[in-house]
Amino acid sequence: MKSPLAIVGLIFVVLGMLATAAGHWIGLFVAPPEAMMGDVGRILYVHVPTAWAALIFFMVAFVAAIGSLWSGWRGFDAATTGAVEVGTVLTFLLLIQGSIWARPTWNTWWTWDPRLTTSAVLAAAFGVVLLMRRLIDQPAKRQMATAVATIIAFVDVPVVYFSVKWWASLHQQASTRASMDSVMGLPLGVAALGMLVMGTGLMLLRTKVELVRLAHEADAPELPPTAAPLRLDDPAGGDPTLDEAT
Amino acid sequence: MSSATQRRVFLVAALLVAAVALGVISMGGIGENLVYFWTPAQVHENASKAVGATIRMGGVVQADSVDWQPDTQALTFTVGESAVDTATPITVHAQSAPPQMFREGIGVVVEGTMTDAGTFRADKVMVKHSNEYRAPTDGMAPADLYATVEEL
Amino acid sequence: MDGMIDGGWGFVWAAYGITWAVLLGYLVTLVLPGRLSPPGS
Repeated sequence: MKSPLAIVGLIFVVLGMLATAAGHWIGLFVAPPEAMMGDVGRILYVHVPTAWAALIFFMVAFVAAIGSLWSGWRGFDAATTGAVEVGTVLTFLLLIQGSIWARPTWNTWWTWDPRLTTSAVLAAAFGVVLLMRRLIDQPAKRQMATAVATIIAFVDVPVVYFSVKWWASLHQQASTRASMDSVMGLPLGVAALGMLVMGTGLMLLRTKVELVRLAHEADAPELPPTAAPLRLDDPAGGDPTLDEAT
Repeated sequence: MSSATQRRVFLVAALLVAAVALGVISMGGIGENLVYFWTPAQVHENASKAVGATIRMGGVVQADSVDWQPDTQALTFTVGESAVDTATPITVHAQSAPPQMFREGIGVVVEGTMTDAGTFRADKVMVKHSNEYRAPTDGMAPADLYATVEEL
Repeated sequence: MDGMIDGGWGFVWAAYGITWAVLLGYLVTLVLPGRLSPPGS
């Protein structure tokens, strides 16, 4: 773990988590409940930062994917993977948080509202990018496919953002400084900054993990996909299973 | 084709596909498929299609229109285009307790169907929250409103 | 009806709890031995 990338990543994660925790603490224990939603309205301070961070990391992935196709540099391939994975994790969290928030406020766990639908598509699309990446063995081909798929999936990012403006929806419009009391804006801002820094740290760590994997793969290209040391059973004998052990 | 050329051809192609897709979506190319709800006026316009089919209608609960009978679970209210709609309001009947945020003047989306009688029979009543986030005002403050708010 | 939603802390804890658990869990998977540095180095 002497790599500067890993060290910077860890520092970002720790700082980001501290800031996020501070924002959440203020939002949960200091800020007032919301006039209509009561205490349930406090989900704001985790949900909105998650949404902002997810969209921003997909933007990072989009830029990295362009760099990846333009230059062919392995670092861009790893960065694309890191940004897509962090964005995807955040988008799944976003859907879960939103569902939990929707039940007491909207009176439903889920509805095919444009914002919700396009967000679900976002999670699925980038999930497919990650899955596809795992299925391609040839590095140059994989790098190209990852970048192209990322650019195509990115189309949904502005669609998610503008969905509440383009179409009639149950989900509210984006809040503004004018539509939110400053006492609520403070924990939201702190948590959003924290999530962004934490996400950046996670993205750097994931990028490093990918770089290690790609370097290892380049060093030993002749290794078969299922290397012999991974087999727990005796290759010469039968095929012992858990059932036989019991 | 060298691999660098191939990559850049793919880059341009991917960006073109993305731009065209975004253009089509934003220009309303898939608009019909993403209509989440009709407003009361649109329900009137599409009256023939609205009867019997499962549709969603979104609007604002009209003042003095809410009638809730706890013993029969009958909820009746009127939904209009805006807070005061004298032209196209539609009466909604539901068989469920009103959600906690439900009130007169709030946005709702109801799921169900239009009846021949010209009223909406709702299976599901969903409440829309605006993008406003406000601390409770004194008049409606709960007893445990946090005194620490001032400390910020 | 016609009031602030009362209670509901369970929803709040669920949303925050799942988020922190997943993010911390994800972090752990990234710093597992052998992931940030090549195996054997």
